[in-house]
Amino acid sequence: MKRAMFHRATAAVILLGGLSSVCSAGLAWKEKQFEKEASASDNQAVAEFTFTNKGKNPVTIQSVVPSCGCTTAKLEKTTYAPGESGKIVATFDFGTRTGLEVKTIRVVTDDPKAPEAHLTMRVRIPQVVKITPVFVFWKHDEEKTTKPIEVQFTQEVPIHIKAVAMDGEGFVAKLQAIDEGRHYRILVTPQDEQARKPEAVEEDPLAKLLQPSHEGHDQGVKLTIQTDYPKDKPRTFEVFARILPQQAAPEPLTPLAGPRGGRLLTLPVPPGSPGAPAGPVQRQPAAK
Amino acid sequence: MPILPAIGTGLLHPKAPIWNIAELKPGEIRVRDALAWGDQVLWIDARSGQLFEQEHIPGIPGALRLNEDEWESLLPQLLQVWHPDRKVVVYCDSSACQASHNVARRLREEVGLTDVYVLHGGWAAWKEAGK
Repeated sequence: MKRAMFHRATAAVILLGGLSSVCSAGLAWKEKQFEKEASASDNQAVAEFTFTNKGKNPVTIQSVVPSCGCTTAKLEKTTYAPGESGKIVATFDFGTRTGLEVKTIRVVTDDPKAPEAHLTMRVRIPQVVKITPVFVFWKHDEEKTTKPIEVQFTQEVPIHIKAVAMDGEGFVAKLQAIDEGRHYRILVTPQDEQARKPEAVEEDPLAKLLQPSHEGHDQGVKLTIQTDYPKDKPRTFEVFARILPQQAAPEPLTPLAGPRGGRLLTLPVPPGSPGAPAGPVQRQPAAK
Repeated sequence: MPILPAIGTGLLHPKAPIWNIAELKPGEIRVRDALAWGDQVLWIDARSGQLFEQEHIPGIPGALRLNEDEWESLLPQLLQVWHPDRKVVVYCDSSACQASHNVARRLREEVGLTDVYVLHGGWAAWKEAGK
């Protein structure tokens, strides 16, 4: 008898406790977790986190704080009456990220029973391109041989390089198609003093475009790889080349990015590639 | 007898000094060891640009900024000063912050830089060290 009464009392306490929490539940979230497998053409993920005020009192959302500057969160209004629903729309911009990314959003309310909620976006971003290496460099006393930059597209759909633009001077770059739509190689060579002389320029039409505007500036260039994917907003990728000074520079110099007096050089795309211009093109024999 | 409570307090106290945080993860370096490298260190602040703009947070003097949000626009300035003789040390807010690890990983794997480390304890550890 006593045991039965004890069990009933326990059940009553549990039930009342549960009811109590429901009555003062505040915001009840439909889902706090968002998961997505992004496609290669996606550059952002959008999640809607809906909620309903299940409590007896209005709830005011005091702040919505994403964990990253890459994520924005929008809320139509801040105070929700009992029974009213709302949503937070979160947008995560991928930028240059790949792989599994987890972004959180901290929601702070004036509900003392549930002052905070944590929303999570888990997005797997496919790697569209593998560039090895992104940065080629030569030490000041190193022989200025050609160094390759491998560009491999990892998606099933072929992705073609439409152009490679080099912003800066002091280097010669040539584009090879190893496997059209899949694998390209950019060969970068520091341009030596001999090649800059007028007689050498006549022999190499590519070098003709690389007239140094002044001597003694930092030798570094940025190459921008322009692709044809996705069709509505083709992506570009950047790689860098530099001849290092003898000593490590203690202070940052003028930035590499942006025109610095050199001409914008667009490398010839291998013949047969989509978008390849007509006319003579320097092509290296494809070597795997 | 008093040793056990003392150890427990040292481990669990919310204001425990940084030095008794768990051991280094691979690729991490402590403040005192990074400081021993002197001018060889190229400091990288991996915190979000939003924090700088909104909160005007301080950072390690001379540090370059590089974060995943502004990767393409900020990477060139790092490459302009990087040299194999220098050691790159990346930091963000604290040990709980992943941004520095992400930036360090990308510098090693994508850009191919050598001698890239993450500051154990981040900016919080730097402040604790009295810097």
